[in-house]
Amino acid sequence: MTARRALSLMRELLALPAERRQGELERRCAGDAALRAQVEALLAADAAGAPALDVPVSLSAAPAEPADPLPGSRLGPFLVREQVGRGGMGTVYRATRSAGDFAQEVAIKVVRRGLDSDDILDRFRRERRILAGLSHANLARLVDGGLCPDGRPWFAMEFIRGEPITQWCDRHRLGLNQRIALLLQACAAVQHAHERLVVHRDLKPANILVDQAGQVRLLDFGIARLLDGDGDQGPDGPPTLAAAALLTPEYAAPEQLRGAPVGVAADVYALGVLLYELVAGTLPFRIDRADLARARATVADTLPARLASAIAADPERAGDPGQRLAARSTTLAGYRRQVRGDLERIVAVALAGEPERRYPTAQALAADLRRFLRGEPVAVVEAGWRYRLGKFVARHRLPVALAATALLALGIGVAGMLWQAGRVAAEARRTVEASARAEAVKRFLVEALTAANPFLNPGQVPTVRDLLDRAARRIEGELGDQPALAAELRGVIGTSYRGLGEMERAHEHLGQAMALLEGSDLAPEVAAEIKAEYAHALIAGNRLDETLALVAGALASIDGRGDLGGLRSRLLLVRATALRLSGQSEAALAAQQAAATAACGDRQPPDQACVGALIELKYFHEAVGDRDRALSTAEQAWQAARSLHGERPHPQQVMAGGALGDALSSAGRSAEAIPLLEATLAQALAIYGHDNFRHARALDWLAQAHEDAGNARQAAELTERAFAIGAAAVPRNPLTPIWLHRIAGNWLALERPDLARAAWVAHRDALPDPLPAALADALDLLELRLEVQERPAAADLAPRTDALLRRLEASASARLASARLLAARLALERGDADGAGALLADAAQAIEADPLHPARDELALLRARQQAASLQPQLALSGLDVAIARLQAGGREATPALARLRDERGRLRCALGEHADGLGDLAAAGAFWRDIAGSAQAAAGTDAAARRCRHAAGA
Amino acid sequence: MTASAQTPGELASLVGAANGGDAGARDRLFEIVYEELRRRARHQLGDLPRSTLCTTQLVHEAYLKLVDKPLALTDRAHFFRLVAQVMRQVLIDHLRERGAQRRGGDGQRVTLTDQGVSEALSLDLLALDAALHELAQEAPELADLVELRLLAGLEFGAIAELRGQSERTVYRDWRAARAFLSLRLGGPEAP
Repeated sequence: MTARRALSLMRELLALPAERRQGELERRCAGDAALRAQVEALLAADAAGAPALDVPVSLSAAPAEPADPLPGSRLGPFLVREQVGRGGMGTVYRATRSAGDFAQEVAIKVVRRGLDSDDILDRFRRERRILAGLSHANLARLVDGGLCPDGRPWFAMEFIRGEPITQWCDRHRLGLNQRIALLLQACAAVQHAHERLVVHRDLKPANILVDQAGQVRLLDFGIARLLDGDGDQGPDGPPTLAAAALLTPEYAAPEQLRGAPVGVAADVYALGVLLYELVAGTLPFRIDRADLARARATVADTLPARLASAIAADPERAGDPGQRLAARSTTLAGYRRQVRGDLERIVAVALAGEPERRYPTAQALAADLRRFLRGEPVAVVEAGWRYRLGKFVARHRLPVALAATALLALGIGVAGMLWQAGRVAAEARRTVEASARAEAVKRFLVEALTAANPFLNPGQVPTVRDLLDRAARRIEGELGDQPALAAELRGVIGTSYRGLGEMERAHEHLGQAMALLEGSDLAPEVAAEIKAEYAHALIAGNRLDETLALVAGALASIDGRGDLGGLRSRLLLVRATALRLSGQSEAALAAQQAAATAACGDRQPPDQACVGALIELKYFHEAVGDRDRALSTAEQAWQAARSLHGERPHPQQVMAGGALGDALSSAGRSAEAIPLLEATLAQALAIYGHDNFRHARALDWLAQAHEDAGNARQAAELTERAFAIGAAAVPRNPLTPIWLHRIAGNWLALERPDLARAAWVAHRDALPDPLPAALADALDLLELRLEVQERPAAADLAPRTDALLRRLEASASARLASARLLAARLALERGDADGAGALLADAAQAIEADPLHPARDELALLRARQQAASLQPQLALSGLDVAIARLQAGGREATPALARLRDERGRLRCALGEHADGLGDLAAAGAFWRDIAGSAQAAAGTDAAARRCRHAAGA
Repeated sequence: MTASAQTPGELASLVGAANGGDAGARDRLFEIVYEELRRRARHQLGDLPRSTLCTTQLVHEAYLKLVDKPLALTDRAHFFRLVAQVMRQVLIDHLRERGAQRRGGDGQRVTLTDQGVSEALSLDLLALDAALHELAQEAPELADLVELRLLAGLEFGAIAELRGQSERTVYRDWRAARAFLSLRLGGPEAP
């Protein structure tokens, strides 16, 4: 019974695309282990094939080898000489063609019966030109093809007299470097074929021969494609028969074993297996051919043994370790020294389980192998700057040692630059073999670095900026004829200037780097790095659309390449920032979460890229209104920065301090935030100097915390300072509208329309143009509020407010509640208590949903006024009591909000005959307006109310 | 009674009648085809040590001999099913005869040749017969497919036509049936 169900399910599964079968199997067999086991056995049997069942039964009178009719016969223009080999795919013969005086010798592969001959021939005819186009010194060329008299297809290719690469290496006792050099030839041939869209799919030592000239020759390229159709039939077509015959499980990529679509990455994987085998003498995984299901699991779920230990692994099959080391002309210690580190990394990337984590091309694998052979840093990541620095030091031991003291003294900026410099040197040497250029790079960098050595230049310790300026000048003079290198170095210098907050210079150098990128031969990841930096600089210039386009291009160019040492996460950050600044907060958050995931992974301890991404992520949570996650992320970032940098001053400590302070403050914990932000401000000033944008940013954080605490005057004054410094350092930067809003808003809260107007006049022209819509709305509302304070009785204010209100309603603006409050206030001024009531009710919905809403106190005030106007003074009074008690309990004694509420309550109490209490309120409010806000206007209003109250009390 | 006693025209009408449910016609037809196939098998194998019996060829020749004008599709399907069953019987009988001659036992492994393919593919025909019986219990339509493919030696395209299915469906069912047989005959690595 189960067998029947198993068969039935098997037929259904076969009708599905291969990649969906496993999922469907699990779904359908949930809770029925017996059924599942049977279907799995059927699937495995199908994958393994059953050649005996693939041909109609025939019966021979004697159980003997059949006579092979082919030798001596003709296939096409060739005379078949003898059988030279047999394999899963068929039989190979040596054949010759006489052409005048010389005989062309070919290997003819006759495909096994059971593979669909007609299709194969069709494909051969279609693809003949592509295959003929595969012409490479390391490839055996396909010469011809046709059908045998019995209908089996045959292919003729160059006849190679050679030996499998693994055997050849062992027999010649090649050392690891020579073995890798040979593998590079195979990589070149594979790359050549890939560029012509031909994937091999069955690379293995038997297909990679070394000929008598010592040249690597790859066999059978294109055959797999002919036999298997390579996707030109439906997904559930009959390729499995052929695919199973073609697959060599030991060298098959996990996706091949799964039966998923196979591409370039499978060949890269096979090259990785071959690399492993050439180096260690054993295979990365033990594959049981009889149990492909387990092979799949092994390859997918386990990591290969490290090369260092693999040399001793599997002695039964691979031979005694001593012999293997001898075959590599090395010792155990020498072997281990050679394979540890870079080679392990390269193997790990080539053998990654997911195709997208592997080297994207055979060429990329080859490039890293070449770097390895030259002792340069390999491109595979997990390699942070420390690793690259180690590499750089290894190659430039003497000059770096001389410069080390100075570099340590200079700290962070130079460390980053040195890292970049190491990479630049490596890249330059990789892309251009000319030793003259390599020399130029080395000289350039070494001179730039040694110039910082106080022992060489006594009494003169250059600053980082001196170093950069010097390097920048040198590029012009020395690298005018080497655009790719100049682009890289400009990128480095621009990045360093940006790190110093010198945005103008950063922009200048990065712009020149971008111009040089055009048509240069830089590797995509280097170009993407420069684009990332330039895009970041564009953001500072508020050129958001350009930024997004640039980032999209750069991300596409490194697609499927991992985080590349933080490059991907930085690009995602730039994208996220640009999205946020253009008002797309949700998309921005998603982009930044992707950035943090890419940067942090599961690295412990966190590195700089991770800390940076977490710091930024905090702001994106905040932008969508998620204060809790913003705070927890900021705490995480702060902890990570502390664990990475300890007590040392570091830009990331400043950024993390700012983020945490900001998050604490907006969570209503400004009492904790303010001391933290004061310390952060001091650190920022020390690191960056007074005129730096980052100093402005630190002022901005502290100002915001003061505003949250209700300390309007400190908020306004600190923000004035931030504006002056920040707008000078980075003209029209996107923070300027926020700063203007804070300055003018706080002066308005302090009843100082004069100062608010002055800020408006002074700064309005320094804002970006056009403004993002959200900020434009906020500033429009602010301007109306300013006018209301300046001339409350003006007739045009109400209609203008209504117009703004309708616009904000239409766009569901976050400013809507504040605008309603302003409209309610105007309604009350003209005696429309009902209209005001409706507006206040609407505004209250939004404001009361957020216990920390900044307009909460204003709502309480206007509501009391409205209730009083509706002849409900007791209700008004109790509302004011609650609001005032809340502010006092929060320690917000010296705030304009409290002053306004007490002013209001004082007037109300007086009107209700509670003159003594009323006068107490009015006195407190008056003192605030006079002493703290400095608002003569507000103080005069309060004083007048107090006079009236005293008069009434006396009467 | 021999096959030669029948004219081709009578055979075609026998096929039609058998297809229409006439048990007598069916038995008669089976005998005719059996005789014809066995005679040809004997002739092909003869006493030569290296000769090969190839079902495809045999069936093809038998068809030409017995049927002189094309059968209607349903009759053709019926005929080939019958041929496949006959073939199965002929093979088993031949095996038993030969086994008895040589060692007096059955279950002998017989080499099936694939004309030049490297691996000597061998199949225990009696085990295949038993596995086919089992398959017929669980999924008769798959057993039918296997007979048409392995015993009558028909191409998938021809089977698809006979069964009124797409070639893709036939091939898919074939894979399922092949996997089943392959397991019964000793697992995925069945030699």
